[in-house]
Amino acid sequence: MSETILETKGLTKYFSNKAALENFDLQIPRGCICGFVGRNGAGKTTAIKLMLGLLKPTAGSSEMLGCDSMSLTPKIRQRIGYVTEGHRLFRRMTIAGLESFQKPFYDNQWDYKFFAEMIDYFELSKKQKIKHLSNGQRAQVSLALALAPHPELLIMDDPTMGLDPAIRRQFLQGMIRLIMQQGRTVLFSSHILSDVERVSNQIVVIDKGRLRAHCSIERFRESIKKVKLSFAKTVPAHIDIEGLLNCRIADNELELILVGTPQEKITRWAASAGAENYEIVPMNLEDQFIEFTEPKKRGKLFQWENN
Amino acid sequence: MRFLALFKKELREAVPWLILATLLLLAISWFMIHMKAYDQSRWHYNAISNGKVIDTYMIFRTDIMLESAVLMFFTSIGLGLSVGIRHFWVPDFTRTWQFLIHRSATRSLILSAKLTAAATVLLCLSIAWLLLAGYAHISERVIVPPESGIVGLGIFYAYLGFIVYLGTALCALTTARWYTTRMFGLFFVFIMFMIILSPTNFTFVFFLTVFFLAVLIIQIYETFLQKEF
Repeated sequence: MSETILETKGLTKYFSNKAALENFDLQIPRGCICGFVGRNGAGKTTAIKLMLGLLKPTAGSSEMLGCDSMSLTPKIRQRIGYVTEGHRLFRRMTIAGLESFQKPFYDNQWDYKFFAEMIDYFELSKKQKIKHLSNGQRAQVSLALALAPHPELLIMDDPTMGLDPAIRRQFLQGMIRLIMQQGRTVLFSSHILSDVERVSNQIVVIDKGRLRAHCSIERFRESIKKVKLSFAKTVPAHIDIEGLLNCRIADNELELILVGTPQEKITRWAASAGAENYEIVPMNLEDQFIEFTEPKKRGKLFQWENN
Repeated sequence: MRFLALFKKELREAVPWLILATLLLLAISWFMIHMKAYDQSRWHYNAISNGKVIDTYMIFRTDIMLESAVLMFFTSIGLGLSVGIRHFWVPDFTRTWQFLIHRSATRSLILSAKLTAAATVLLCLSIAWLLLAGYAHISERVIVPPESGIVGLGIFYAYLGFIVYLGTALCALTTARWYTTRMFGLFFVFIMFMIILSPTNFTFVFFLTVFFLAVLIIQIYETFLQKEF
């Protein structure tokens, strides 16, 4: 069994009386590339900050590299790379200045050559000041700074936010470079599901502060299905199929979103409900994620949704 | 090495404010010293040429650096406030706390680098003050050089600037709402100034400031270690 590098147990965080994260249990094994996805305000940043000991949990605990998050020692922090949300760096420093600020914290770990290569790869100059860089360029500097000491665990909070597709691709290439180095573990939050699918082998879905899914990408892809059933007359009033997440009725067609329902059960239910035929509609990861995290009851529709 | 890296970063952020404060202090004080020196020499010349016995206390009743000391008071307070804002408020606005905190250094080391940088900045201001006093001593234009008491007062003002820095830091670190206890740090400093500026003896004032300094440092240390970023 592979070693657990990150573990949370019942991690809970309340801001005033609002729960940002509730009873969050997560285990990430060494060498795993984990995409951390959730809607805006789902609790991704809060979870990351709690794991890094930047926030204090209301309840529960979190461990990183075998050390409690609230008492991470400098030695442990040295082994964890962190790319902050929005790539906030010291604006008045140059890239070279940031490098010389950063390297004393990594003893002999700092890889000058790797950092220079990364900066070169991103077509940046070390003389450039952070305040003169675009959002995408800051993201690249941020990644280079996090990767240069070759951390065992890399945590990135929405690293591709606000980047154009070309820069995003370049950024992901940089990430893949790290992943190629054996034994590295990456946890990165993102809204862009195609990035998650491209890079990661595990997916963690968080919704309204609660862990909804943690599995391999393949399993997630296989589990969520959209099934379209056609009925000769009316759609049955009572739908009691296993793993039902959502359903939509239009005329005599029924659309079901199912989680983890085996094919034979779908066939059996379709027959028992009197469906003329049914088909499993292919979905991409983004569609699956949206369906998976869609609120059950939304207050009201936007005007264009009514039309 | 780690402390040095942190210290250099904090010092670098404070240096523009130090340069501004020092230039202001030196330029205005130089002008004030020269004006005062001109007054002194005029009275001195008149008294000698007329062969009168005059009340020298009336002529030289104020020290040549007294006005400069007042300026030093406001400059050091301004510098303490500016550096405090730069070190503890600006990272809130620019959201750089996470980047600073997540590194292989303890929070106490990060805080001590900030405090040492601020103390260094105010020490530099007091060195500028000493240079100014040195100039007033060696300048041929100045007939009566400044008294050591006034020079010492300037250094004491630089120390008060550091206390203002601590007050600002405490305000920034406290998470309470601004209309409740958030301003406690600066309010505490204000109370200290009210006591200092009332006629009391210097020893009492000095020990009082040491007490205030200790309270602020303990409070800042505790708050910084417990703070959520």
